[in-house]
Amino acid sequence: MKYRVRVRVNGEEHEVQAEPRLTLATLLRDRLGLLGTKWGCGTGDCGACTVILDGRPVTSCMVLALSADGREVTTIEGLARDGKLHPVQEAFVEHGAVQCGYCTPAAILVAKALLDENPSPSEAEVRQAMAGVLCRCTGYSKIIDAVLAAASAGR
Amino acid sequence: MTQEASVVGKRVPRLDARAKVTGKAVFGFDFKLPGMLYAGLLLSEHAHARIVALDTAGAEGLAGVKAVVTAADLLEGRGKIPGVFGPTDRWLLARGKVRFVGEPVAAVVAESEELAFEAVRQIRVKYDPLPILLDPEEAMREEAPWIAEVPIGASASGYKGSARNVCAYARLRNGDVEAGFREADLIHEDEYETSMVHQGYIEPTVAVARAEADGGLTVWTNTQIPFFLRGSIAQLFALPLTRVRVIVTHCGGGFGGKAGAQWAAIACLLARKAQRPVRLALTREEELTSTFPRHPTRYRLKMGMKRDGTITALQARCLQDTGGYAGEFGPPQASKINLLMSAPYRTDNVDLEAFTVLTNKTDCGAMRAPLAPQTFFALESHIDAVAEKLGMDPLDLRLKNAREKGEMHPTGQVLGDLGLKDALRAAGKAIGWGREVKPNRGLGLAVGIWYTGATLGASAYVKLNEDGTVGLIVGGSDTGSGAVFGGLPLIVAEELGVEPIEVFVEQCDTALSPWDSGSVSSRTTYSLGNAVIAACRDARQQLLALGARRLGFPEEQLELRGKTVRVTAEPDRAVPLAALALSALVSGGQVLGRGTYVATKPAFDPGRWEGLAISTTLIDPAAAVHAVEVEVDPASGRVKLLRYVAAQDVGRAINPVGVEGQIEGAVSAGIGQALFEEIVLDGEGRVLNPSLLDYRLPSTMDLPRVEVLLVEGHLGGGPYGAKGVGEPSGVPPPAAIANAIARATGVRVKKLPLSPENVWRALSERRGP
Repeated sequence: MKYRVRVRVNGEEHEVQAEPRLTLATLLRDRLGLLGTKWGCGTGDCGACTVILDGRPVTSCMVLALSADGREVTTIEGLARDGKLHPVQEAFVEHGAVQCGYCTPAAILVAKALLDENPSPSEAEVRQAMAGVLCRCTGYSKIIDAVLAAASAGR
Repeated sequence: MTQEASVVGKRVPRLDARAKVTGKAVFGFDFKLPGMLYAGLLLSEHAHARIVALDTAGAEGLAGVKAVVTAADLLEGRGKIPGVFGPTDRWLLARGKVRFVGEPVAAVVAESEELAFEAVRQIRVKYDPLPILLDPEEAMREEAPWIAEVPIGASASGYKGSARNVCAYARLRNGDVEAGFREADLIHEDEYETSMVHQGYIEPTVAVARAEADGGLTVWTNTQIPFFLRGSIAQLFALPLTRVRVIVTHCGGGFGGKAGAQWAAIACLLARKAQRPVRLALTREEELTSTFPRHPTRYRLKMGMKRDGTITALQARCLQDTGGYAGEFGPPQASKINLLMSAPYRTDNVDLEAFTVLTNKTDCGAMRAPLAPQTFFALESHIDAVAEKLGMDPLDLRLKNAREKGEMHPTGQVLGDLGLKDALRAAGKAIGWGREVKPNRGLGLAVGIWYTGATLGASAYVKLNEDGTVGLIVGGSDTGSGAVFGGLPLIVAEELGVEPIEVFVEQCDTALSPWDSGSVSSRTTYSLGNAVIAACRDARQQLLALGARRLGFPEEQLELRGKTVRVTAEPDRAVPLAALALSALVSGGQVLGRGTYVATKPAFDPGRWEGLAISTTLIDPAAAVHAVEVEVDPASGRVKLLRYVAAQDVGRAINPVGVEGQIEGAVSAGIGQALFEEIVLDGEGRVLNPSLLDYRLPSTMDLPRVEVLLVEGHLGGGPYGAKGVGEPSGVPPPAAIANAIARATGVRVKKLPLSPENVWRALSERRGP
């Protein structure tokens, strides 16, 4: 039994026939071909699949596609505009916050969601907001540098 | 380099950063082919059992299932996973018996992953359980169940004991330890234990295999070792190397865990049978049960010391618990233990033994500085304990005994320029060693030594495009470290006078790339970098010759700068590289530079070794010295890291951002191993925590800022004096933290992880009932 899901992804409307247990992560990656949303565990523990759903970061592998019906999703592909990187993306590049890059889309989206709500976070607030994205490469220091730099660039 | 570096040493963004921040970089997990099928794995539920019956009919009968494979599908006379020294003891798919929970027994491919998983559930296996061995000391007993059931290598490697589960042995002896102990004013003996931890890469292992029309195989995979993988697949399927092609995708972390042939080979087996492309992607549960984690170890150390701090003797016995199989990574690592333990501190009298022991646990593998954090957890805890007994400051004791350039290591090798003393001083100064700390707080420090696998060679080509940009053709795997996308372009820019952004580099395609030994042993920037320098200097010569003719000046008066060949004394007299490259295409041939590099193994004395002595020398040993301030809550055993200093002896930092990033990452994994990571098994050998909820990787809330100190100047043989940087800082964290805890509480915890439970228990034991 499939259900119609209408979801707005990066500003574009999509309509998909979804089984009840289809996750948002699988909808984005397999149905819409948006591979920037990564998959690390499938159980909501690593955060690599994070997207922004109605303004809030969620682990998309734990969100049913059906519950995204009528809602707005931002993935990493939705950040750059006309080839110009979002300030958070730019900061990640400049500050060495990218090593293997697998957690990077999630980290950037969580940071963007944070800065949209709190344009001047402290380091502690950045750490708190980003606690749900696991990174094995960087130890987080340069990721935090990048987020704080993007915050001050925005001021 | 005759002039000051113009690009090397600068903070330059890596070339793949844009693709990664926009989500465009294609990782192994993202890779797709039309008509691709999805694999599922049947893994053993028993830690030790005979396979009595294996019935795949239920799986084969499911609509949408295209192939099922078992050991019966392996080629005649082949099917054991190849290792560096020939076939290992492990079948690609279990044959006859299983030796650990999670061992692959069968695999299926189907039209969807869901179908494949369902098909796996339809396979019927009948097991006859055998006695389970989970403890390496138990496994060493003469009457212990015999896991291998055939002699494998131990006797060949000089082991003279009667423990049948010992599959390798290595002993390093020098001088006379008995005399050394007689000479000592103080003897300290103790035991240490480390646990099984996982590489924890966020991207699962993936291989996409396609059977070609000519019988060949192409594999797209997030591997660290494309050429070795090609060799293993060729061996398993009796193919010439020209018929096997391995293409490296972007990789979401390897750390030694993507350095085997297992999964790609199973994908190939399925692809050949199904005659359609196959994608094998491990689930996170499979990663934490069936891959190749860091070896658990047990050490018994005995050190003799004079009152003035001179070490008179060092004796050690180590059990390297390698799990159900010797496999690709067991025996070859044993000698690392002995080599590393005797590296940092001056003593001529050593007797160090390492036993590689089989148990019915996961077949352990290679993880960031294999056997090193374990070895230094033992050694560095021990030397701190000795310092305490002696009433000597631990930093002073280390400085007194620290080896330097030109000293002879017990293996008989004369050491290169080791920056251990400078790193000790730098770390001590930065943490404020010797200062007063509040109650329940303590400062600890620890040393780690690692080396560069520079005898693992590489070659490279550079080609000049007709617009003056440069193509770099290499067989490197970046694995995320930045060695390929961050380091190599800087080297090309430095050598040819172009901007890093004007260099194109891609990862290995074994059909098209020259040899590279893989993203292992901290050797990519080093070995491949040296090959790239050689290739660039070859191209440079050609460009200088062309430029000399064009400009009418002798080559010695010319330089490559600003994408031109120009007269050094008169920079306005210049010809663009583009013009030279273009005219070369029509006359004389494209400017194409070729370079190669492989280090010579340093001289040493094989007579000091017995058994399977493979890691017997240290090329460009690099010291990592970490100092940490901790606060311990005595009620809960919880340890908080207040400050963390990591000094590393890097030789020369090619790309400082990249080097810092590698150090910070190595520290984070070391802290995870130190404080909370552990693969926990129950009494039946089953992993109890095969998820990232319960196998806890450090998050932003767990890690302090790391104060990175790049100790430069003790040059190595890498590009511009570099040493390997990726691994050394993964070594000291467990010991540094354990030492700090000991100084904060007066209690030494000798077992990893230093979890709240383990710390609390140790504190309770001291407190008494």
